[in-house]
Amino acid sequence: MRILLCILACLVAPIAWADTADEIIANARKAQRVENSIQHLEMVLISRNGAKRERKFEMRVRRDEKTVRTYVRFSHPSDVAGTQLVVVDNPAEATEQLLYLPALKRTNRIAGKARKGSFMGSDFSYEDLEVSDGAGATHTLVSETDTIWVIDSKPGADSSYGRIRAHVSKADYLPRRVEFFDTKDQPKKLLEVLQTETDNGTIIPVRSVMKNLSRNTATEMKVTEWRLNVPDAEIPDETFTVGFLERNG
Amino acid sequence: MLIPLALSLAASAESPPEVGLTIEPLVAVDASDSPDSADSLESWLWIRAKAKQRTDHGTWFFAVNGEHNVRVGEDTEAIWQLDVGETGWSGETGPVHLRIGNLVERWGKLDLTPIIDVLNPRDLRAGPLATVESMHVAVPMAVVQAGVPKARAELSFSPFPQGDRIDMIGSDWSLIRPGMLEGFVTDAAGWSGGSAALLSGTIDQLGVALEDLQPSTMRALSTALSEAERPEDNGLNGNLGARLELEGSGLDVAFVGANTRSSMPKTSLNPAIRTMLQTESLPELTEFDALVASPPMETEWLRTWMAGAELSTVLGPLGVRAEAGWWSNKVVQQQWLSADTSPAVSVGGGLDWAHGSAVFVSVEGRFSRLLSPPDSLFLTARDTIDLGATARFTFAADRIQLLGAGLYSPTFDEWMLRPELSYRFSDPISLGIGGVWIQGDEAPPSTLLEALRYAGGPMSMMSDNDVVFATLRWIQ
Repeated sequence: MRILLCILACLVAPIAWADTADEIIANARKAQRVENSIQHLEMVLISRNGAKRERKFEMRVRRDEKTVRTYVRFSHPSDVAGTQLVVVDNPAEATEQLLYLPALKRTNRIAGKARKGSFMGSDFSYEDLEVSDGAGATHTLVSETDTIWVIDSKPGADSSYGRIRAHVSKADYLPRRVEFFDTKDQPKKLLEVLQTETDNGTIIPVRSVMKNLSRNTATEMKVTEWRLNVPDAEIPDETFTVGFLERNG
Repeated sequence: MLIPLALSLAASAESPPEVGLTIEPLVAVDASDSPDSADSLESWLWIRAKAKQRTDHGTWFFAVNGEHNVRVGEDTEAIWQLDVGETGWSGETGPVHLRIGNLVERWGKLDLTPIIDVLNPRDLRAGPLATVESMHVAVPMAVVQAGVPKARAELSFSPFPQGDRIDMIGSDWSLIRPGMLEGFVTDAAGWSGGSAALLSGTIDQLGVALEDLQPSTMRALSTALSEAERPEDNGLNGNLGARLELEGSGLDVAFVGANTRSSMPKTSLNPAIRTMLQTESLPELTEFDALVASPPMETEWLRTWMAGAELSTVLGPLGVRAEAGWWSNKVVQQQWLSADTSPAVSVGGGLDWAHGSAVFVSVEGRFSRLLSPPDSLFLTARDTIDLGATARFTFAADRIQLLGAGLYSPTFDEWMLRPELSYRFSDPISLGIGGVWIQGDEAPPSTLLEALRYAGGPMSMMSDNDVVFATLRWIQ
């Protein structure tokens, strides 16, 4: 399973019991199904020596059957304000990513290896923003306790991760802790959900942290505002086009 | 002044306003063996204040750009300028999307070797020291767009187009560099010719007067030369552009067409003056009639049709960009302050490779051909090839950034390199050091006459302008 900004911002509702890894993942994906939403987030980049830098952005997510489209626009600090990102994630097609840079007034298409690198200086990569299952991902139930399942996922060949271990809560199918390993099976990153809130039965991970274990840096992500089940008209198709990005820089 | 207005509008808005202030001083010190008259130190201070407010009915945006330039040489010059940046309103009005105000409307996909980015004038006064943000000059414009998400048609109209901002005289990045005009007049006082006995004394006095001239007067002369004969801003001489954008999976294409006023004037030096300069002799008394029969220089701001296309896609691990353009009547500079026109075509492309936001490498190239070139050409050729490259590496969670940009022209065998290393102390403050190195086959001109008949390329002409610089960026 590609682990994702979805964990930080997606919506989790309790669902039926399952007992195989594939079923757990399938149920977790169903539980984490990203519906149309508009969220405001703060990202705090924490350096090795503890210095903090802040980014604020708005994220709009729209799901149409299997296609999930995400639009991100940064509003703070002012040197990145206007930077916009679109991710079109469809399991049947190559993920499409567009990045608009206001200084250049131009949209870049992000290709291949670019998606494996850091997203806006944070410990998240563009790849982490993808929502769909990677092609060819396989899942194994490693262990379980009364409260969690521990599942190892082997992502597809195009991923920078060799293995991803998710600790999935049995109560709500939310991955509370996700460990990322590189292709040599060395620990690379760790994502932890620190705080959740419930909105009309939907669990929202409002505070999470991604730690880069080799660089000893961390990025904390906070969801400060959210609106769920937003009608399609508020996130129209054109939100995810080059034309929209260039008009709204 | 505009920022409080933006904030007051925020009262009825649904989201908080984005307000930003950037203060960016840069100090550059001459690092090459340039003439004594050249500026030994140059500083720029760019101040950009901006605000943006999204409301239920659209988006208001405001920007003010301040700029202070100090040039220390034989004279110390200090120039302050305040401009309205991108300011206006953008939103849906019925079936169309409208943007109106003082706008930058960028066409094209290439950054270092642009081809079809024709709607806004460029600010070239700081040469390679300029920031990316300060290169485009916002002008009054209205842009109307309509269509469906994957196909859009757009019309833009700019009623009061401006020429590119160039210092003709007096800076190290201008055609007539510091001291050239004064040196020319001193030399001309000693020229032979039938009228020498009559004129030498007067020219000599003119030289003294020029030496005593305040730099501000010289700049006014420079502005007058750049703006001479500019058509009135009655809206009838505006720039009109049309654009059709199509988007598919992994691909976007746009076709553009425009009728624009050239950003450079077509000039023609009085033939008698030209002969005088070429022969370095004063005219015979009998030739005086020809000298005064027409103005020293005639200037026309011609219009041209242009058509072009742009494309971007991905190919494996690479981002691919391309653009091409055709002009019916492009102004082409010639030696001795003259110009002519020619139909022209250009085609260019670029490849990008990136690794997240930490590594970005890009190469670009452009081929241009003048289809009916005049005999003598200045700073260009019938066929020109320009190559460019950019590399940006970011380390330590975005704190350290190494940025390099380079241009190479096989046509003139000349290149320019601009490396910069910056360190971000905190979110608001970063400090950078860097340099500009320029090398060319042809030695740069040292006198006015050498400048007017220069046969090298645009980078060679500035190849004694190597500098090292330090820059600070404060963002709030």
